[in-house]
Formats: sequence, structure tokens, C-alpha cells
Amino acid sequence: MDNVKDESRGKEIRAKITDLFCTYGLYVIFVVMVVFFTIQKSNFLTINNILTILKSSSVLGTAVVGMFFVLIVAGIDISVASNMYFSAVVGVTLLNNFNAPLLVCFIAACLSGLFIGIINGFFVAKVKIVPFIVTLATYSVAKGMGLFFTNQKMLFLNARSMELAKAQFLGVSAFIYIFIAIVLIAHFVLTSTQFGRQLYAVGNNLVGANKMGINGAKTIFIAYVICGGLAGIAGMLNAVNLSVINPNFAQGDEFVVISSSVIGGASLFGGKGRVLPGAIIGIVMVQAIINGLTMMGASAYVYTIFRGIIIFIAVMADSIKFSGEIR
Amino acid sequence: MEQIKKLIKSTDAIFWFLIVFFIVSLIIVPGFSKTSTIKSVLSQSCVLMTLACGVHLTVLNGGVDFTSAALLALTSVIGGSIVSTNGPFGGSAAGIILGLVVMMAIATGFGALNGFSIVNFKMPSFIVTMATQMIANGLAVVYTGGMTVTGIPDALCHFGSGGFGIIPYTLILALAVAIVLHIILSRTLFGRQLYAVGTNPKVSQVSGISVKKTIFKAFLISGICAGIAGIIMLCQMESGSVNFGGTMFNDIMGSIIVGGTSPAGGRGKIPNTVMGAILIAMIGVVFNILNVPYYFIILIKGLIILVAASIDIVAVKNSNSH
Amino acid sequence: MENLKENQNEYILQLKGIMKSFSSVKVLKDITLTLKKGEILGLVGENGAGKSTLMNILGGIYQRDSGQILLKGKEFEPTNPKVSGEAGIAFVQQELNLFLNLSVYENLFITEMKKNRLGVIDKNTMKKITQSKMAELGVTDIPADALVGSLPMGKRQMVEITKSIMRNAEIIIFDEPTTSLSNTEKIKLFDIMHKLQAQGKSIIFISHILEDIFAETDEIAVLRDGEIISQTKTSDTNTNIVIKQMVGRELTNIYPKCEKTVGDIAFEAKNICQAGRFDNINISIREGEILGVFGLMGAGRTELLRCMFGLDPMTSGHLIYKGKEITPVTPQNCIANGMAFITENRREEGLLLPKTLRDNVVLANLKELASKMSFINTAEEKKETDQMVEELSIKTFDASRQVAGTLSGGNQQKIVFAKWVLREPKVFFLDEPTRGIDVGAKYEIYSIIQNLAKNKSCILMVSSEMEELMGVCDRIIVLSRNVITGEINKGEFTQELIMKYAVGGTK
Repeated sequence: MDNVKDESRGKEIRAKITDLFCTYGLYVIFVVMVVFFTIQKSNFLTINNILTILKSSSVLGTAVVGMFFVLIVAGIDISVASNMYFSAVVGVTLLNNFNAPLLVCFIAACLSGLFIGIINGFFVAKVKIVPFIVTLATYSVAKGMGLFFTNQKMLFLNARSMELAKAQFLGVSAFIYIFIAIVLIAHFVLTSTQFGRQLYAVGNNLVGANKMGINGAKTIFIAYVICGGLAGIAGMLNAVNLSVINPNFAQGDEFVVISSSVIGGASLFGGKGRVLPGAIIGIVMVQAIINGLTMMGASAYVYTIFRGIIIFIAVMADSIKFSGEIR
Repeated sequence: MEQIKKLIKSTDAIFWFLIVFFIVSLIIVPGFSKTSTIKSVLSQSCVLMTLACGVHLTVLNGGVDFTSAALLALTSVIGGSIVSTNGPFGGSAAGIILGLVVMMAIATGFGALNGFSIVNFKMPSFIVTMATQMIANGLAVVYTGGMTVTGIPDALCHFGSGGFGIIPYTLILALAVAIVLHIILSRTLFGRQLYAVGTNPKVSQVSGISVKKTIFKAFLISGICAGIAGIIMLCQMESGSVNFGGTMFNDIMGSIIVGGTSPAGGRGKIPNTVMGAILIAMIGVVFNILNVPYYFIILIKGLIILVAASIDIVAVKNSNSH
Repeated sequence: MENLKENQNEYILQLKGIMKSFSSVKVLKDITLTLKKGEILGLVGENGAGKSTLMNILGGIYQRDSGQILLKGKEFEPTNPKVSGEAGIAFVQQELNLFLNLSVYENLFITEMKKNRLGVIDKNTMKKITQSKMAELGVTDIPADALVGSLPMGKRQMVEITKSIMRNAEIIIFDEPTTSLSNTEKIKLFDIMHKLQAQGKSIIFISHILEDIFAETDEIAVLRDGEIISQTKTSDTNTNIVIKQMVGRELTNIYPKCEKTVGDIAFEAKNICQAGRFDNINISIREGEILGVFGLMGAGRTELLRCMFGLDPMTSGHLIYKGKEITPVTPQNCIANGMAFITENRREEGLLLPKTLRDNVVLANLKELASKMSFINTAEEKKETDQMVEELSIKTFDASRQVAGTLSGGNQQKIVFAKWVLREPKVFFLDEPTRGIDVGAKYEIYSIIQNLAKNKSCILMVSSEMEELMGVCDRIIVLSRNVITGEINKGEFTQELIMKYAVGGTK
């Protein structure tokens, strides 16, 4: 009898440790890294640097907000980086060749993103192909289209874009305001509209949602479209920030976006995630680490390894939590 | 006549696609019928075939393995540096053997890591393998600082470029891998278990099959195949580079899905994936000859996956309604 | 016609001559049932009697074949759940349909949220309405913004019930609502039922716990084999009469005769405990004995078998075959030690539907068919498959080509049997082995089972069909709410006795 008691106590303790790790582990790691960076480079924690981190967070952060929508319905979109590329190309083409005002370019980029999102949504929700296969395919399609329009060459932005790149209000970059605005709008949609709440319902129990009369397929479709549109805007922001679009624009950023989302509280298994403050926390944490690495002069490969490790740990925590909940 | 009809009915669509594409290319693509071109197609399909066959096992389970392509880079640079004439063993036989063994060990190790994470933490395979892919890629760059590894011994180079007339040596190795895997899947205990688990894990468990062990083995074997593919790549390219395998995951999934294996798991034969790989390689070579720009190539490849996967879903729906 | 007019105010629901068949099986044979306004009608019957089917017809999930439904005296066609819901019928099913990640009020309003003029959802109004609806039911301890996933089962059910009265339902059907409730939660539930009744609503309460039926209902209707045997005022009947009506059928089925000898005790399950469910269950089976397990919905039969086969965790307990303990209790180990388990859901847990018969038949025997080099001996595989096909009379055009999903229910079940029989196990767990199979195939399955017993296997057979158990088994134990409440030997089998134990009487 005692053996059984000891065994179950042991199990309890292990379960508690796992639980603690999953909930707080990432934050602990983050704090450790921040401390490490600050020790190495004293100007890591300066206002200036923090503002830089926030500014670059705003770019991918926009895509993170979009990814939340897809993750909430238990989907995934690995085409976001190519989407960003393609949409940026469209927007910048309008900027350079048609002298369109910046706002119009952004709208055009958003529309291009929506287009990719529609393709994704259609094949996932209507044809019902597994999401990662669909978005894997559109990853190539979007990239191909982008390369086509740029003839596989670099594309420099018209000097007008610098207006936005340098724009500040109260000492804080315009980008941050744009990002916050998008977060607030998304937060509103997700928490205060029927559609938003239905997204969570569909992600938690698709069969049940359909039974109750919610059009699950349509809800999922719209989630992918929104993700696409926001990726389009993120692409344009990225282009303005860099002033140039290289053929390897946003390469590998899909993982930064996905891991930021998962770190920010969304789950690959659906039904969870608050963009406010989740999306912000997630992207800032990841971006801070990337920033720290840059300051330390880390070579390119270090980023790839870090991105891999971060997403691995984030998803591991998510998976463990999820399998805990089911039982 | 009956026999012929039966044969036609039992061969899968991919076979016909391959034949048709081949014939059409012979006709309209200039220079396609040259032996050097055919040899090029066969050569280029080797690495893809080996990788795709390994990943095939993971797809049978409804999953995927993205690490394979990155392992090409990692194994080729580490292995390359060991076997190299500029390396610590000066290109000797001992160095070659050690290098190849190390390559296999690394690839298998990653396969085991993938399998372990997926089975023990119940993480979705696509994320796990994408994460390990990035780590593998990063490690490859760490190791070489971005430089290409050269000085591959003649023996390996000869293996990579030589052949029996039109049949490259590397193709023989790749086909050997494919044949072994085909035999494993169709004739052995593990093969049956894998198909069962991919069709319905609950039924498999009640019937006494260890679902966890089966899935783990699938990813382990995929890693082993990646190691072999890395060896082939090293010999064919006569160098080791971090750039190897860059966009190959597209081609791998393409080979498998176009071959007729369902991404949902449970069915799909190796020979079909082999034909799928040859077809994809052929398309690549044709595009090369026709000077098709890169953007068009990846665009088409993406569309191929979408179309093939859609056809698969529709076909399954139709057969279910009977 | 005049009768109808007279009673229009009295009866809110009238069912006349309802018939329903699935494939060729007649599930409802001529249902005539009435529900008075403001009354609680108890509906009792064995598993498979047709209760769920009948309610599903009312709820618009199934369509009846013939018969008339009158709602408030007018013809009513429940074509789909929406129509049924709008007509005022609410169906609280056994399986709750809630979103665990949303709050209580969101679950209630998810398809039609209250919005203010700007289109923003009006949380406060929804919360208020939710709170008041729950108060109507006397539920005051669930906050409207509580996450449903954080609520215990009982409270979740309250939410589901509140959902059903959102649309001002007039008829509320409760299908076995108490199966996963604690006693206090049950009391709360009945409280709510009476409150609803006081509001003028009419209730159909389906349950197999006669104690509850007699305590809470105004009328009781007994359903047996697709027919309403009786509908009487609760005060005019008693438990014994109801039990007799539930089972009082003529035993007409023929069961194969079997000459066999029952030996000594060979299989023992001792002190089987599962946290939260089983407390020291003891079962012993003799060599060649067929031990039947009877129980109603929620008794714990399938859970017990799964636990004893290692599919669900066993907190403590021992499995012993002929003196040797089988440990650890895992499916693989049990199979290796000569045990077999035919699950109740062959389509989901018994067969690989898209695979061939051959693949399925050898599935549990793969290791034995593999040589040292791990190669499957295909010749042996074919031989074994053909042997099984013949032995069990499975109808197929080619076992190596026909896909399991295309077989008839009876043949599918035979394949599941074949899979296990091939291994010549010594202990057989059968869970509803003849469910969904026609009479002819059933007889064949009984023969198969008898033959196994003849060959000195120990057989544990769970079934909802009392008659079947009485015809085939040597001994029957009865499970009720996770406890063995009775044990009856062959000579003493009576339907009433078995049912008495099943509804909660003890030895």
C-alpha cells in the first residue's frame, strides 16, 4: 500500500513541476537571457534600445496578430513570410511606379495579403486539405509571384517611404502606434464581437459548433483571410523599415511569428490566445532576444539555431499543457 | 487481353503521369533525348528519392519530416570535412569510413530526437521537424562559418559522377534504399504495424501494437535515409555546403503527394514515391533546359502540391460514397 | 377528431403510431405516447428499447418513417433540430455540447448574441439575462462569466439546461441526465425540473434509475422493444410492475445448444480498483464458462473491461490466469498472455475499415507471423486467413482484396472475432458482440462463442440484451453504478431478477 502512495506522490510532484515549467518556464528563460545580454552589453536595457526593439516588434507583431486568428481556430499558416514578401512587392511597385500615396500602397499590400489568405482559407476550409500542406504550397506560390514581379532582383523603395520610417510621435516611432492600433482592433474583434467569440468556439469544438448552427467552415475561412491581410500589412511595414526588398525578404520569419504567437498564449491546438497582451508580449520577447544577439555581434547562424530552439520549447510547453487538459 | 487490362487497372496514376510527361518532354523539349540529359535526370532524382522515401514513412502516419532536407547540409559539411584531403585524415580510407559513419550517426541522431519529441511530448510533427531543421541548418553554418567544404577524395567523387553507362552509381544506391524500404513496408512486421497505426491508432493499440514505438521507428528511419542522401549529395557535388537542401522540402512533399500517398496517412507505396521523385526531378531538368526562371519553378511546384492534394481528397470522398 | 379538440388544452404532445426502421431493423414499432401540459413524464426501458431514437425523432435529428406527431393539437413536423427548437422542444442530451473555453453566458448566446446599437456585443445584458434565467431554475451559485471548463460536471449540466430554456422551450426532454452527477447535484437537478414544471413547462425524463423515476414523475411510460407497453400514473404502479413490463417479453430466440464441461476457476480478477470508479471488484471465471455481465447505461461495464485489459489505467488489482499473475496490465502483455478483447465499437476500435479482410484478420497475430528476420510469412498469413474465413463462415469474394468497410455488420463482427480467435486465446472479453447484427448472423456468433467455451476458454460477455445473456451464459453478474449488485446461476435466470439488480437492488 505504501508503494502505491509513494508512487502517486511522485507522480504528483512530477506533474506539478511539468506544469510550472510549462506556464513559467519561458518567462524564466527570457529573464535569464535579458540579464545575460545586459551583462554583456550595458546598453541593452537603455530606452533607446528598448524603443528599437519595440519598433522592430511592431513589424512582425502585425503578422503575429494575424496568426492568432488562425491558431485560435486550430489552424496554422506557414506562408506568412512569403505572403509578406509578395504583398510588399505589390505595395512598393505602386509606390515606385505609380507614385501612389503611402496609404494606398498599404491598402494594396493588404489586399494582396487577403488574396493569399483567401487561397489558404479555401483549400483548408472548403477542400479540407491539412493546413500545413496547403500553406506549405502557398508559401511557394506567393514567393514565386513575388520573385516574378521583382524579376528576382532587389527592389529599392522610393525615398517617400522614409517619411514613415522616420516618423515619430512623442519620441516613439509611428510603427509602434500602428501596431498597437492593430492589436486593439483585433482585441476588440476577438473579445467583443460575435464572430470573434465564435472563432474560439470553433477552435474548441468544431463538431459542436456546427451542431449549434455556426458555420464552422466559413469561420475558419475568414480566419485565414484575416491572417493573410495582416501579413500583407506586416510585409509593407517591413519593406518601409528596411527601405529595400531583397529576394530573401522575411526569410524564416514564419517561425518567429509562430513561436511569438505560441509564447504569447495561443495554442497550436486551438481555442486559446489573447492578442492583448499576448501578441505584444510574445513578439517583444522574441524580438528582444534577436536584438540582444545582434548587439553581441552574433553571426547569422546563431539566429537560426535560436529560432529553432525557441519554437521547439514553446511548442513543447504547449503540447504538454494540451495533453494534460484532455485527460 | 484480360491480363493487360488487369495490369492497366492496377497501376497507379503516377506511373502514367511519368510516362506521359517523359514522352511529351522527349518530343517538345530540345536536347531532352540526349543521354547526358537522361543521366542528369536520374542523378538528380537520387537525393530526392532517398529523402522522399524516408519522409514517406512519416507521412504514412499522418505526419511529416522537414528535417531531412536540412540534414543534407549538416551531414555533408561535417562528413565532408572528415573525409576531405584537406582534413585531419588527409583523404585516406580511414577518414572516408569515419566520415561516412559520422554522417549516418548525426542523421540518425536527429531522427531519434524528432521521434522522441513527437512520441513523448505529443508535439505536432510539422513543428518539431521544422524546429530541428532550423537547428540543424544553424549548426551547419556554425561548423563551417559558411565556407564550402572541398577536397573530397577521388573515390567518392568517382562514385558520385560515374556509373554503368547511363545508370549512375548513386542511382543504384538510391534505388537500393527504396527497395529495402519497400520490402520493409510491404513484407515485414514493422511495415504492417506502421500502416495499421497510420490507419487507426486506437484499433492498433487494442490489437497489441505499440503505437509509440512504431511512430518513433518511422522518424528514426527517415533520419537514416537523410544520412544516406547526405552521402550521395556529398559525392555528387564533390563538396559539402550549408546551402544543400535549401528548398528541397517542397520537392519532397511534392514527390510523395503526387505519387499518390495521402497526407492523412494510412496508405501509400514506396514505388509511387520513387516515381514521384523521378517526375519532380524530370520537371526540374526540363525547366532548366527551357531556362524557366526560378520564380516560375517554385510557383508551379506549389501549385502541383495544391492540385495533387485536392485530387487525393476528392478521390477518397468518391470511393467512400460507394 | 372531436377527442383531439377536447383534449387540446390537456395534451401538449401526442405521438400516434410512430414507426422507425434502420436498414431492415425495426427500432420503433408503433409508438403511442401522450404528454400532458405541465407534467413530468418518466420514460423507462432497457438499452436498445428505442428511447433515444424516439427522442431524436422529436428533436428533429432523425426522421420517422410513419406516424403522427401533434404539438398542442396541431400536426408537427420536426424536420431538423432548428425547427424542433423553434417549436419549443428542448433536448438536453447525455453528451453536453458546450464550449469549455468560453464563459457561461457566451455558451448560451453564441449563435445569437445581444448587441448594442454599434454592433458591439452587449456583455452586461447577456450576463443579466443569463443570471436571471439561471435564477428561474434556482441556480444562483454559477457566475455568468465563469469559464465552463472550470465548472464541475454537475454545474456544466446546469448550463446546458439553462441553454435549453433560453428559447422559451415548452417541452424539455432530459436524456439520462443523472449518470455523471453526485447526489447533491442530482437533488439540484430535480429541483430545477420541478421549478420548470411550476412554470408550466412539460418534461420528459428518461432514466433507468427507478428510484428517481418514482420520486419525481407524474406518469410513467414503459418502452420495450420499440413499443410503449404502458403509460400510467406513477401513483398507480410500483417498481415490481414496471420491471415486469420492461422485460416481460416472450423468450422466442433460439440459442445453439452446447455440450461442454465447465472446469475449475481459471481466470481471476482480484480487487480491481480504478480511482474514482471501481472499488475492489472481484470476478472469477471457470474454464469453459461463459460469464455474462448485464447492466444499464452508465453501469460501468465497458469501463471495467477496458480497465482489465490495460486500455485505461488500473489503480490497483491483480489479473491471474491459472495461478500465474499477468503483469503489467497492458494490452500487449494481456494479449501475449492469451487474453483477447472485442470492443463494442467495431467500426472505430475493432477494424481497419479501409484495409482488406486479410490485413484485419492477422492484425493481432503479426508478431507470430513474423520470422526471425521480421518478414511476414505471407503464405502462412493466407492460410490462417482462409482458415478463419471458413471456420467462421465469413462471406467474402476474396479475403485478400475485399476491404473490411464493405462487409455487412455481421461479417464485420466475424472479422473482429477472427482476428482474436486466430490466436486461440484463453480469456475472452466480449463487449456487445452482437450489436447491430441481424438475427441470422447473431446465431452464428453465438455458435462461435459456444465453441470457444467448448475449447476451454474463459469468456466474459457484456451485453445489453438480457435475453441473449440468458440464452448463452452459464452465469450472469449484474453491474449497477460501478458495483456488482448481483450474481445469478443458470438455473435461476429470470428477467425480473436481473433487472432488479440492474436498477440498483443489491444481493
